[in-house]
Amino acid sequence: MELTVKLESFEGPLDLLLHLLEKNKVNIYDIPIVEITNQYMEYIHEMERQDLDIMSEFMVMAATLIDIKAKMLLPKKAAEDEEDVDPRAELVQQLLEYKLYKSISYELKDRQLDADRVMYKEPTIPKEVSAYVPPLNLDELLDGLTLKKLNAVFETVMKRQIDKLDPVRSKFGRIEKEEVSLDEKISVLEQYAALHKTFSFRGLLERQSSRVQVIVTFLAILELMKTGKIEIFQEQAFDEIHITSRIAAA
Amino acid sequence: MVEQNEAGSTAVSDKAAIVEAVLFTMGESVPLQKLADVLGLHTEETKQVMRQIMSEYENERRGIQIIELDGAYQMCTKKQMYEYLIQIARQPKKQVLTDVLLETLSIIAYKQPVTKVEIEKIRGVSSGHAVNKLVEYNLVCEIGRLDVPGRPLLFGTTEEFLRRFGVNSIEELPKPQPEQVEEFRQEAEEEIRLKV
Repeated sequence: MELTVKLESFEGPLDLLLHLLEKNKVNIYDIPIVEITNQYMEYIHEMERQDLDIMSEFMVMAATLIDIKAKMLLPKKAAEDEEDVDPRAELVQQLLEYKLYKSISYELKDRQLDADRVMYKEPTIPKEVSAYVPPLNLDELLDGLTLKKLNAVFETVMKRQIDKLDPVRSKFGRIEKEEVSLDEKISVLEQYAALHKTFSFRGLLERQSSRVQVIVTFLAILELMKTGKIEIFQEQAFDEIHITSRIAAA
Repeated sequence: MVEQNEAGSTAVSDKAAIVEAVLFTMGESVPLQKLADVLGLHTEETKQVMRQIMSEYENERRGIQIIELDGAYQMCTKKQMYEYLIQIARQPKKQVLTDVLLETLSIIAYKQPVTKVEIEKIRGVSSGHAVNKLVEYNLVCEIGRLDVPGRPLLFGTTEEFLRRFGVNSIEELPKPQPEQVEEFRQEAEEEIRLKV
């Protein structure tokens, strides 16, 4: 059986199979599995479909056909209580059902063409009518609403809010990131000291932007003192404190 | 409308006039209950009124007809008027349904309520795209979920489907099942006989 040069595109494996059956003028109740499978495989090889989803469906059908072919080539088991099931039976059922809906779809298509000749009208409601909102009747709206009822609703809403709150997690405080790290401050101060040789402690602290900064700066000074990078000098108690750098500028 | 002498028929004629005015103004389909409310009648009596007015429009030489769509009524032109109407009213281009969509639509129409998986089993290919397109065209819609693990969506046809395919209700869809299968069986028998 020759393949036509013009390859039609098929929506799915069932579509292709039906086409092959029709072309070969095959009785759907007695499909020549070997021949049909061969033709099917030829078509698959020629197909230029890129769509992986669809191609995989075709593959599944190919596997099914080969499976059926194999079953039919094997000698039938001579079991008396077992019914003689034609391995093609399930496929035939599927093909029949598909063929049915295919023919229904052609009928629907015709009906659609016919029904298209009928015209309908849009609503002709004047704007004032469609925009009309009946006046608010407060008595009707608030009918049956007592203060007690309102309170009950309020309680329910509040309870819902409380229920939503996770009792453990909501108590966690905020962990804020430090503005300035001590190490940073130390290196900054080192450089500053190396550059300025001598500077006032008060002046240094006054220049800091926040309390945290003041504290960190103070700690940095202490650290630098400990490591011997700076010296502190105060003439008298409560006098100005002078800081002198012991390291030479880079 | 011709005035009748019997009081009952006059009343019906008056009611029919009201229905006529309502259907014209609303343009879109009007459910039976709404008409009943307007007329101040029970739905059964309203149905009677509708039957009368519908047959009048059908029998008299009118260019308009009243159709029923699953319990709602709508006014529209008769098919024969189309060739005259296109000379005046430009009809907006309706989307052409591809074969794939038509097939999927057929399955949904006859098997509703149906899930995507059931549709795919019949077609042999995945049908998500087709179903979504049909929903977009307002030809099918979600009508619930199947009570099994996964709770998949169930699909069915819409009123728009009835309009587009000239069907009054789903029950009125042409029933091919027994005849078609019989046809195939006969074809098959023929071929077997020929072989022998």
